[in-house]
Formats: sequence, C-alpha cells, structure tokens
Amino acid sequence: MSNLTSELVAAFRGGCARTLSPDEEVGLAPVLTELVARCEQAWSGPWLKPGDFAAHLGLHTPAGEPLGDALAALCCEDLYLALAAVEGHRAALEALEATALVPAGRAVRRVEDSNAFVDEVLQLTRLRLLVEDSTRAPRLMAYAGRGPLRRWAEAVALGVALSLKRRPERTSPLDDAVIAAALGTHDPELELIRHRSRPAFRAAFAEALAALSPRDRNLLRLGLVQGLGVESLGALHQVHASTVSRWMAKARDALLESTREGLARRLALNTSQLDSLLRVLDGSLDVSLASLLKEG
Amino acid sequence: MPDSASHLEEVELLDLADGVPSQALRERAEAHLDACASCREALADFLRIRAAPAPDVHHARTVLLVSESPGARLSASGMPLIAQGTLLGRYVVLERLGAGGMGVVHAAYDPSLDRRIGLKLLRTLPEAGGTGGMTERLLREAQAAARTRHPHVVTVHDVGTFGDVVFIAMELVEGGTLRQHLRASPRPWRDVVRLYLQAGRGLAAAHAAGVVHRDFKPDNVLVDKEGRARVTDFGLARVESATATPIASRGMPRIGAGTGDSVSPSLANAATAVAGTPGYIAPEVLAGAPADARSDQYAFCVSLYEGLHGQKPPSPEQGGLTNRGAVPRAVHALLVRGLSPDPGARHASMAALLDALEKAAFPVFSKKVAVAGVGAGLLAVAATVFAVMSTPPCAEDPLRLVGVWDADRKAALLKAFQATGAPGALPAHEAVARALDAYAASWHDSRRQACEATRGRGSQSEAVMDLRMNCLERRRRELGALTDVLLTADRDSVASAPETAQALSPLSRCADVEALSQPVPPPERPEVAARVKAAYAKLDEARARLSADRWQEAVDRVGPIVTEAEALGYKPLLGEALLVEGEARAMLRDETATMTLRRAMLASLAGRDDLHATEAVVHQVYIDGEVAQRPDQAKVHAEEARALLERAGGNLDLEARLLESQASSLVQQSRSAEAMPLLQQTLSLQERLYGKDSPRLARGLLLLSTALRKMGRSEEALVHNLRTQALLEAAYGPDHPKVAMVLNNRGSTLMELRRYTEARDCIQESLARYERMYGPGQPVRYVIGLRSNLGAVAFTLGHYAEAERLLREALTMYQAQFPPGSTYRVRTGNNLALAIINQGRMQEALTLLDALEAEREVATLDGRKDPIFAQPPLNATEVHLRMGRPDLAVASAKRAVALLREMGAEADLSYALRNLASALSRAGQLAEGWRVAQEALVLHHKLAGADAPPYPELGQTLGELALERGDASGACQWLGEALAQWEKTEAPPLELAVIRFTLARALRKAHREPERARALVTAARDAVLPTPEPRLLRVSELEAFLRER
Repeated sequence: MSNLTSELVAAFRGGCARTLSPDEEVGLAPVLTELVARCEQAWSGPWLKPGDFAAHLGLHTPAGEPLGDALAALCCEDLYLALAAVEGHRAALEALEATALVPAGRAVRRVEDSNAFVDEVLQLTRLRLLVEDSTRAPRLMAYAGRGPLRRWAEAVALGVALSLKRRPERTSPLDDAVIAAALGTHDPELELIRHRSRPAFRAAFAEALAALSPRDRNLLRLGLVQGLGVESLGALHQVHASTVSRWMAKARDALLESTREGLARRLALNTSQLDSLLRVLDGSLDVSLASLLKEG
Repeated sequence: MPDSASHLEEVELLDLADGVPSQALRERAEAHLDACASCREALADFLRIRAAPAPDVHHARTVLLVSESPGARLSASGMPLIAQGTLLGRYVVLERLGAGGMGVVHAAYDPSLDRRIGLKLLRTLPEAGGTGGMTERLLREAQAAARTRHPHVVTVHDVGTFGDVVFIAMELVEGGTLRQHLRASPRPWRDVVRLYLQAGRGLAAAHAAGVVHRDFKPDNVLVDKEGRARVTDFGLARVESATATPIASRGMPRIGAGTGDSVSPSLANAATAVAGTPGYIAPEVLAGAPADARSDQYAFCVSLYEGLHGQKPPSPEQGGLTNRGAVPRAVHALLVRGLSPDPGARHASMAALLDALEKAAFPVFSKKVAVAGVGAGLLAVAATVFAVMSTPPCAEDPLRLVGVWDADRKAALLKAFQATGAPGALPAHEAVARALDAYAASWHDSRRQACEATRGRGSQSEAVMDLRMNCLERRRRELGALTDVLLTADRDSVASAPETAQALSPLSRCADVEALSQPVPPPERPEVAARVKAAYAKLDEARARLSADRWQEAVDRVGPIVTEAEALGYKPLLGEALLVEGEARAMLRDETATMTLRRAMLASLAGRDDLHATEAVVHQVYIDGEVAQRPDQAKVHAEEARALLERAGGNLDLEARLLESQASSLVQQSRSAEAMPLLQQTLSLQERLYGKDSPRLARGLLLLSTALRKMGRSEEALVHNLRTQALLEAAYGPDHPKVAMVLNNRGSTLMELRRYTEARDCIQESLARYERMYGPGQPVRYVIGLRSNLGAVAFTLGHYAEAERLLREALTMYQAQFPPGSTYRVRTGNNLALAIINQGRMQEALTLLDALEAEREVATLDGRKDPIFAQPPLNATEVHLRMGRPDLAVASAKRAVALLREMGAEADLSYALRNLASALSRAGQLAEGWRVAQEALVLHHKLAGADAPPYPELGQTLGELALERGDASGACQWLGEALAQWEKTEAPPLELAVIRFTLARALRKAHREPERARALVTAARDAVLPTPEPRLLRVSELEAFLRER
C-alpha cells in the first residue's frame, strides 16, 4: 500500500464511527483513491487535501450497512463541494452558488415572488450554510451526502424563507377556557352543563385523542390546527385527496364517539343531557378540536 | 440516525412535503410529529409552499425591455417599453396611463403600501460627455422633491433606478391636468383663481423645503376627482432639457401639439439649453441664470394669466399685458407684478403673492368664513363656494361638518327640543350644543393634526394618515348619527340629551396609531368592503342609541349588524357590534350580556383589536361583579383585562373603568375597605383625564358613596352622593337615568341614617324620574328595585301591610326577570320575610326563608356570591328567637356568620356577629355571647373609626349581655346610649320596645331612676299590645314589671 493511500485510509478511519476490519481496510484503499479522483475531476481541480476529504467521508458514512454500499450511496461530489465551500475555496463557493443556491432561489419564489425577498433569503441562507456562529458549526458541515446537495440547500433556503415569513407568534394571553367558551350558547342550562363538564370533557377528549393512531392524530392536527387542505395532506401521504378526506372524517368520528363515551362515563349524564351537550360542542367542534389538538 | 426526539431537518420536511420520504423517515416523522407542535407547524408551511404554483420565473426576471428604435414617434426615443404584469422591484406594472416628454407613466401595484400607485419611468438619459452624473443629479433632486408633503403636491413614495431607467413611484391621482380641466368647460374667473391658489400653495410648500419646480405649467398640475389641484413633476424638467435636442430640432412637436400658441423662435431655441417649457420660462433663466423660486413664480403667473384669459401673456410687441373680461383690477395688478422681467421686482415669495391674491379675489368670502356658523343663509353661500373650491385636508375647514353638526342643525335641534314641550328644553339644548361644538372643534383639530403629520411634517406615512382619517370619518358619522337621534328626541329623551352628547367616542383614539393599525384591515374586494363600510355606518347609529341611553333600541339595531358581520367574516366589526350589544344589555341589567361580551371579546381578539377586546372584558367585570354577583368570575375577567391592557400598551380610560368595575365588585361583596383604594385610584385617574367636573366621574363617586355607607360612614356617603348629583345635573339636567340612580342611592344612605321619610321621598323621586324618562314601569329592572326599596322603607316606618304588598309585587317581578339565586330575588324576598315576621306569621316567614336559603345553593353552583345570602339565616334567627327556640336561633346565626367570614364581607359580618351574640345571650351562653359581641365591636371600630359609637343594635346587645352577666351599671350605660340613638330616629315604638324594657330592667337592678324605668316599660307595653301573638315581648312579663315596685 502506498504512502498516500494508507494516509487516506487512516484519515477515513479517524473520521469514522465504525471499526474497520483489516479486510475492509484493504478494500477501502482503492475505493477512496478513486473517489477522490472522481471528485477532483468533477470540479476540475483539487480543492481539498485528499486526507481532509477522506476524513469527511468517514464522518458521513453511515454505520450499520456494508461499507461498500454505504460509500456507493453517498453523493460524494456534493460532499466534496460542501466541504470545500465551508473551507472558503473561492471556486467552490462559486460552484455552490451556481449549482445549489440559484435553483434554491427559484424555489423560494413560491414563498414570495419578489427579487428583494429572494435576495434576502439567499443571503441569510449563505450565512447559515457557510458561517460559523457562536454556537453552531456552519450548517453545510451537516450535509451528509445522502441526497443531492441541490435539494438539501433548497430545503434550507425554504426553511429560512418560511421563518422570515412566519409572523411573530401571536400568543393569546388567555387560556383555552376562552376558546371553550366560544362554543357558546345562549341557553343558560346548557351553559351550566357545559361549564361544569368542561374538565370532564377535556379529560375525555385527551383520552380519545390518545387512542387514535399517530397518523390520524397528525392528520387532524395538520388539517384543523394548521388549516391545511386535503390536497396538501394527500401529497404528504402520497394518496388521493379524497382518501385523506375519508381518513379525516373517520378520525374525527372516532374522536367524537370516544369522547362521547368518556364523557358519559365521567359525568353520568343522561342521554338527553349528553345529546344537548354534544350538540353544543358539535356546533363549533372544529374550533374546540383545533384548540384542544393544539395542546395535545 | 437521528432518533424520533430530534427535530425534523429542512430536507426531511421537504421530502415529506413532496411526498418522497424514505420509509424510515416516514415512520420517524409520524412519531415525532405526534409530539412536536413546532415541527407540525413547519411541515404545514412546507406543504403549503409546495402546493403553491410556481411563479413564472423567466417572466419575473424580465425586468426591462428598452427599445431604442429610431425614427419612431416622439415618445419612442429612449423610452422604456414595459409589458403589463412585469415585476419592477416590488412594483407590479399595470396598465399604461400615458406617455409624455420625459417618459411613460404606468399604473402599478405596490404591495408594501397595498395600493395602486403611479409609476413614472423616465427616458434613459444620454450619459455621453459632459452630462455624466445626470442620473445621480436627477435622482437627488427627485428625492428632495419627494420630501415635499403637501395636500396640493402629488406625493412621491419612492425614487430609484431599475438598471439605467429612473423611476418615480408616486401617488396615483385620478383626474386630468389643470389645462384639460379648464378647457373642458368655461370657468368663471374665481374658479380659476381658486385652483391656482391651491396649486400655488403646493408650490410654496416646495419652495419652503428648498425645492424648485423648474417647469410649472398647467400641464404639471393635476386636478383630482374631488376637484383638488395637485402639483407634480418637481425638478423633472431637466430630463427633458437633457434629451430635448433631437425633439427640438424636429420642430418641438410637443409644444406645437399643446395649445397651438405662438412661441417666439428665440424662446424655442433657448429651450434646448435650459430646463422648462418655452413660454413659461422666466427671462432671467433664458438668459442663463439658475432657476429659483422667483422663476417658478413667473411661470405660475404665466399659467394663471393663461387660465384667466385663454392665452399666455402677450409680449410687449404684441401690445403687452391687458386685462380683459371680469378679472378684477387688483388681481390683474398682482399678475403684472409677478410677470416683471426683473426678478427683484416680483413678489417677495409665492406665499406673499398667494395671500395677496386670495384677498384680492375673495374679499367677501374671507369675511364669510370668519362668521360662518352664525346664520343658515350664510352657510349655504359658503358651502357652495367650497363645493367648487374643495378644501385642503390640513386646513381647518368649518364646513367639513356641514350637515353633520352645523348652525342649521343646531337651530333645528332647538326647534325639535322646544317642540317636544319638555321642561328644560332650552338648557338641555344649550348643554348639548356646547358639548357638540366642543366635539366638532376637537374633531377639526384632530383632523388637521392627522393630516399635518403626513402632509406637513412628513413624519407619518400615507397609510397611517389613512387610518387616522378613516377613524375620524367614523367619528364624524357617529356625530351625524347622534345628531339625527337627538333631532328625533321626544319629551322624555330631551332631558338625557346632554349626556348623549357627552358619550360620543373620544377622538383621542383616532390618534392612537398603534391601536388603529392593529385590527385586521378591512376586506379588499370592493363589494365586500362596501358592505363592511355600510355595516360600520349602521353600527355608529346603534352606538348613538347606546350613548343616548336607549338601550333596548341599541340592542334591536345591533342584531342585524351582528348577523351581517358574521356573514362577512370580518372580526373587528363583529367584535365591535357585539360590544355595543353587550354594553346595552349590561345597562339593561340583562345577565346574558356576559355571553355577548365574551363573544365580543373573542371576535375582537380574532380581529387583533386589543382595545375593543379589553373593553368587552372590562364590561364583563362589571356584569359579573355587580349584576350577576359572580365575584370569582369578575376577578378572572379583571385579570384577563389587565393582561390585555398590558398587551395593548395601556389605555388610561379603560384602566380607570377596569378599576371602577373591580371596586364595584368588591363593594357589592361588602369588602368596602378593599374597594376604597381602588376607587380613589379610579377617581384620580378620571379627574386627570376628564377634569373634576366631568360626569364621567359619577359612577366612581356613586360607588365611593355606597362603600362609605356600607362601612357605616353614612354622613360622608351623603356628601359624595350630593356632589355626584350636582355634577350630573350640571351636565345632563335633572331628568336623566343617572341622576335617578343617584337619588335611589341617596335613599339607601338615608335609610342607613334612619331618616326614613326623607329616604322614601328620595326613592319615590327616583322612581318618578325614571318613569318620566322611560314610561310607566320602565326600565323594568330598575323600577322593580325601586319598588322593592319603597317596600323596605314602608317596613322600617312600621307600615307592615303596605311593605308586604310592595315587596311581594317586586319579588314576583324579580322572579320573572332573574334566575334563581339572583341577589335581587334574595334581597327582596328577605325583606318580605321581615314584613311577614312583624305581622306575626312565623311559619310562613320560615318557609320563605328556607326557600331563599335553597336559592343560595343554586347561586353557589352558579358561581354567585353575595353577602345578601347571609340575610335569610339571620332573619331565621329572629324568627326562632320570637318562637322561643334560642338553640335554633344560634344555629341559624352561626350559618350566617360562617358565610360572611368566608366571603370576607366585614361590614355585614359585624351585623351578623351582633345577631349571633344576641341569640347566644338568649340561649344562656353568656360568655360566648359577650366574646362575639366584642368581636363585632372591634370590627365596627375598624371600619367606622375607633371613636365611632356602636350602632344602636350592637349597643343594645352589649347592654343586654352586660345585664345578664350582672353588670347592671355597664348595661345602663350601653343601653342608655343605644336608646338615645334610636330615639333620634324615626324608628316606630315597636322597634324600641325591647331595648326600652331591657333598659328598664337594668335601671331597676342598678337601683336608678325608677320612674324612668316604669315609663320605659309602659311605652314598650303600649307598643306590643296591638301586635298579634307571639309578641316581641310577653305582655304578662311587662305587666309584672309594672306591678313590682
């Protein structure tokens, strides 16, 4: 084994979390040499010391699968670019701009279609990717090569764009008693029942919510609290919107039914009282679901 | 691999949102999202973004297409051509409005101002040779011009470049140029002068800011749809002069196409070298001097001359300046001076010229404005003048309130008031007129300030000015609506008119920009916006009813507005509408107000309207504290209100009202000592806000008076009560609901002072005033209360049968109006029980008292608490004593004491302890009785002061106990003092029978004044003899005392 290749293997081992068997080490040497060559060629020119890159590769090679497969699955060229950019190599920065940030800018246009906004987002994204702040390493160091860098950068830029867009949280100083009261009614008797049964209702509701599957819980929350439409939720689950709509209806019914049972059990209400109560609750169920889901 | 506890990374969120996650990610996400709200929110954002259609990136990137096709028409040279829909910076280019010598003008949408603007794109400047830096210079000047904010200057929002094209984003003025305006139809000379006066003011404002126009002419003055003249294109003349050469060489088609005026060739050639339009350029500028304010003045005078005579001033060769037509000589002379070839011979400034011009053209008009408001005829004249002239928004224009509150309306109001035949119509009218005049004056003031902040000082954006103006516009409508209400006043409402006038929403809120900009902006779509606007107008009318104390009318009117607001889904409107409804219901003492107010608060919160939300909560404090007696609820609301106030950045008016409502709840619970500091805070706040004589202090003062009364400081209470009445009557006149309330409260205080007949007179007077205002039996919840109070007076005066009748009536009505457990029912039922007891029907009384105690349980479940609930057990104590069952009496009294102790109701507690002591004494538990009586005494001293003598009942009990404990001389002391106090009152002999007999026994035991003892017993016997069994005292016992010697 030549000096250079043994250095590469040693560097890889240093960065890597797994222990390498002698066989693996032997097999690794030519692979690393080839990878480095491939990357340097891809970006036309060595930007990094081969050892540094090998250590970086070691760092991001996932344990728990055969070494060869793991290395083959990595987007090595992008990892190379990422590391070089963080180290401030000018050509690498330009390449990052052209291959990742410009396309990310197009994605950001969906958040707000204005040049000023896109520029601001990209500037912030550059900062986040490349500059170390007091607590965190440059974000680009966390890019693990498990997907194209372009998509990864797009996601980070979108995150930046969305957090810019997100209005400051308007926390209401009032607790959910307010929202529960919004279920309001003018019937004082019902009002009384509702008032007295609120804790029971909440307990029954929490119990019912806990009994749903995580998928259903998340569907209800994203749909009712975040106000997402069934199309978006369908995209999330890779199913048609009508399927999502059916799932949600089922989840909602299950939630209601089991809340109802829990409530009847807790309050020992007779049927007509329970019906009245649920009528009141059902009247603005979405409001109450939304508020209760938010905390659940 | 990250475990499920770590947050989802952006790329994971993106994969999820795009529906391409790995199985492992999907599982991890499902588990993590279930527990992490922030990732759920982030995912929702990503999902939303990915669902949004991607914009046409290529289109958006196409910034400008600059066409330089030569030989095209005039406008094509270096003119930017831009497709509709193009994005320039933040502006979306809309339709092209026109093209001129210096470039094209497009309408555009500015998302940051959220409005249509005009976007002027200037032709590219030849940067060759010596003109380098032209763009920069132009920008500098345009930016300077942009600083001129004036109602008669078109506002410039932004100046900058896109590539090599200079743009100016300006206010979009719909209308035409002054030249077009004057040409459209012949105008009388005065109208022409008026428009030029306005334009001249704009020019003068620019001069004041150091900006020279360089190209003033009728084409650079726009007339908007309101007929207001606005000067535009400051400093832009240079663009044209810099690019004018090719145009000029082609015979200056622009000028030729203009008016067709003859232009001397020398001028035309000169125009290529200097900025400006030939014919308007001052001679010294043509000769090479720099343009300045005086050359602008020259151009102004040329333009005005042209406007008046239809042509530019002829040169001396053409016969010089002549004055034709009706233009006064004074006006003409001013123009001649302004057109002097020598700049030094012109007017000192534009401002000087304009002032002189205004005087010369409108000598009569100026005088009329000064006296506007005196006569209806004059106003009509002035109004027509103004309709043509229109008004600069920053000027104080007395006519802006014409038809809203003006001399006509004032006179009509007097007529309307007198026509009702109501007594005191004249003073009521005076008070109303004074209040509305003041409101109108401060409205003008507010408007001017709002305007100047933007247009004058430029310290405020147009958007903020719009907010403030909008608010003021609503106040103006409110004023109009209120005047409408007043004009339809009937006999009854004339009296309350002055308060109505006082209750107009304060104008100060229109200056509270932060609060104004909080509510969700109204919908944009014009048809929805129109509905919102209409609903607000209706709401103002409903609020006017509320202010006029026509509570039921307000409720009736606001109902449809609530429905409409719900249909529109515009929360700030819904919140305000429900607030008006809730307030009106609160005044009607309708407990459902609390639900309405809660909805109001929620809607306002949803609409991000913190102030109205706070106001709704403050009213809930009042309802729960005073009407529904749910002190715990009231406390919760008070905390909510405080938090909201904090968030809204504080508001003194609401702060004061909150303190007041909190105090009211405490007073209601008999926790007067705790209420006192709050009340003092309230009153000092309100005095600071409104002055010492403001009727707004009334509620606080009334509460103060009640608190003092409950603490046994009735004399002080009376003083405050009288001050309140004086204050209210000065403001509103005698027949006003609040005055009636004051009278009722005075009745209660007089009762406490045992001045019963005076008390009865007060309460009857109060009742009479209510019924005069609202009709017999109205407003029902107040009238029942007064009847019940009359019953209580009748009782104390010993008219038990009458008392029973009145109280029974009142109780029946209360039962129909209020739910079980309401304190109104309990208080009246309790008094009724007393009347029954004193007529000897013990069992009946006990049954009633039991029923009342049962209502307390309902009340407790309902969260209601009130010291009044201790009264039924206390009265049961009395019954048991009379029936000779002291043990039961002690048990009842203990229940009452426990209840009051738990509530911390100190004032009532002192009385209950006294009752308990008395019962204990009869039950033979003397030591315990003495201890309890001492506690009552300590409490009394704490509340009423260390020197205050015990109230007679307490003195009597202390005396009785002393006697039982064998301290005869101590007993004589306590009882003698108590009896002396009693005898000063109008208490009937029956009330005094017991104490007289006890004192007699004490005297005999102490071997003192035997004759007085006999006299006392005789009086007691005479008092009890006519009453049915079981009597207060056994006649046989009294007889036996008299027989002994």
